Amino acid sequence: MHIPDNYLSPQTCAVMTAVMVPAWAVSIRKIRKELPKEKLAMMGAAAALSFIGMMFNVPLPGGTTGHAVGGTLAAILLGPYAACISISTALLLQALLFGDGGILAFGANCFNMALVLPFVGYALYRLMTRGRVSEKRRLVAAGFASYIGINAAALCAAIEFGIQPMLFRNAAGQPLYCPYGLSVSIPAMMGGHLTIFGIAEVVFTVLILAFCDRVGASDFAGKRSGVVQPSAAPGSRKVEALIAVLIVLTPIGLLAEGTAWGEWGTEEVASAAGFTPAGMAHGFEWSALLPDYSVGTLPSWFGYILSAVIGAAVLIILFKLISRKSAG
Amino acid sequence: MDPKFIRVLGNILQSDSVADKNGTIWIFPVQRLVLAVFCILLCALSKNAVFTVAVIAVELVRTALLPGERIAGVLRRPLLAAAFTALIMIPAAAMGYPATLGNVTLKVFESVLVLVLLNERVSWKDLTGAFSALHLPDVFVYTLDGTVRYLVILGRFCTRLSEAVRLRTFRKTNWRKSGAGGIMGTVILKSNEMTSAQYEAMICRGFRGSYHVSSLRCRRWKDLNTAGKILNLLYACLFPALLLFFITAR
Repeated sequence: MHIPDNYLSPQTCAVMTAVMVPAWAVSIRKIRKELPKEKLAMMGAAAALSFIGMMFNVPLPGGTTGHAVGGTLAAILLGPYAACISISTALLLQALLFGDGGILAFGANCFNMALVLPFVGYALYRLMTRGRVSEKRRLVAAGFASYIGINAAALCAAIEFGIQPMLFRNAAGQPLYCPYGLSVSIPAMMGGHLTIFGIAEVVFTVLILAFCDRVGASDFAGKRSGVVQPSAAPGSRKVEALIAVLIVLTPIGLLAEGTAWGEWGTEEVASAAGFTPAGMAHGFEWSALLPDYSVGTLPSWFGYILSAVIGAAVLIILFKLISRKSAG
Repeated sequence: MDPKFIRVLGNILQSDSVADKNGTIWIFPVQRLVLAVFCILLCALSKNAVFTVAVIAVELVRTALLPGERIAGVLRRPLLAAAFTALIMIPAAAMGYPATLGNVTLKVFESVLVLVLLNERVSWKDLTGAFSALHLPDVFVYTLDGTVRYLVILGRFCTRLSEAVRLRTFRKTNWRKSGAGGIMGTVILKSNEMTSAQYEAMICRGFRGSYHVSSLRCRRWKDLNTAGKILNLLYACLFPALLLFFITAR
């Protein structure tokens, strides 16, 4: 679901970023107002969980791959506004450091995965858990909400891809950016997300939420109980241990061969569509430090683990620094 | 006295209070010190960024596990060093070697981060003990000890002196410009006086020209419990592991 650069026109990217700017501003204001200062650091853990979740690629027959995002999970743990900022930060790190998702398309990626996904998922979750509900029903609601959330995000991404050939063509009538229209992009994106990737999101959300429930860390923001746990609560240490375990398991994501739909390189697009769209041939390129989560000549599994370690550590450090500054 | 200078002294003194002091489970400071130097040496010898990135990844995890209020202090120095390095390496990028800029900047960041984290985990007392365990000349340890002690003592003296100068000044003036020379001169005289006094005191106590670091300052194997011993043995395995990784990553 990470839209690379040059698949969307600069105009589309600008509009999506313009939509996200007020969303980020409102989220930051809400976090300052509602989230306890000592819990800001937990946003780092949520961002790290989402970052690692996105590294577990799941294969689909036909050679395409996808992954969970953990947007609804972050929204349940911290609230949708904090989830929006956490996932946006994870996406920024992925784009800058690992070249996963475009720099120009950052606004569009944030719109899909950091705005639509957590807000839709959280709204559904709240609707299904009104009043007193059992833990089991809460988990079922979280699973269902995450499934709808990720599909809503995938639909938005498919529409963003699909409108490109309608809006941006050259004099010969060839698309300038993504060459596939809505009739191709929607079935291609939704096919995977309604089946395997949606289930991956459900499994990721439910398993981690159940774990957090068990270790007493599921109420990160103290919203349900109304009681804010100290930051060094045993639950937070166990969440860090969970992140460590997930990091070690990330090479599983390498078992899925192939590229996700809409994330191909220029050559792959040229061979599939029969031509290279002009906007892609002469588009913006970003040289990431660790492209595709690889580290130089190291084996891919080791590079994947190192990338996960760096990503998770940077996110946790970043939010700990922000929480310290806010507390000060 | 410059507030930054006071902060540096504070950090040195604070390292004694926040460093690892678990009763029976600890890593030998000498192991930590040698591993840090080993890491920096291998990083300097590596021809690409792979080894450096791997070490940075581990050090970032260690940093992420620190409390938020200490992370800023830890990261400030490596980031400043890296920014300065990147600045002076800009000509390399302009001449068509951007990879060199990235490599050198990463190496500087890694080296400073390793040292800062060593300072976070090992107290000053343990560090000088580690120097002694490495059979570094005692006079070297003595100089380090003396330097830190006198930095603190003379620093306090300097602060008192500058406060006195400020209290006696009626008009608004930059005391650093007007009284700095006088203060520095007085501090030098004072330090000379204190050095003579210390030398005389040492002679009175039987000083014959050699300085022995107390063995009490060095941690001992027998003070460790079984878990601590296993931990230290595992820590020792990091040396061949690092070397092997360095050879592979080259």
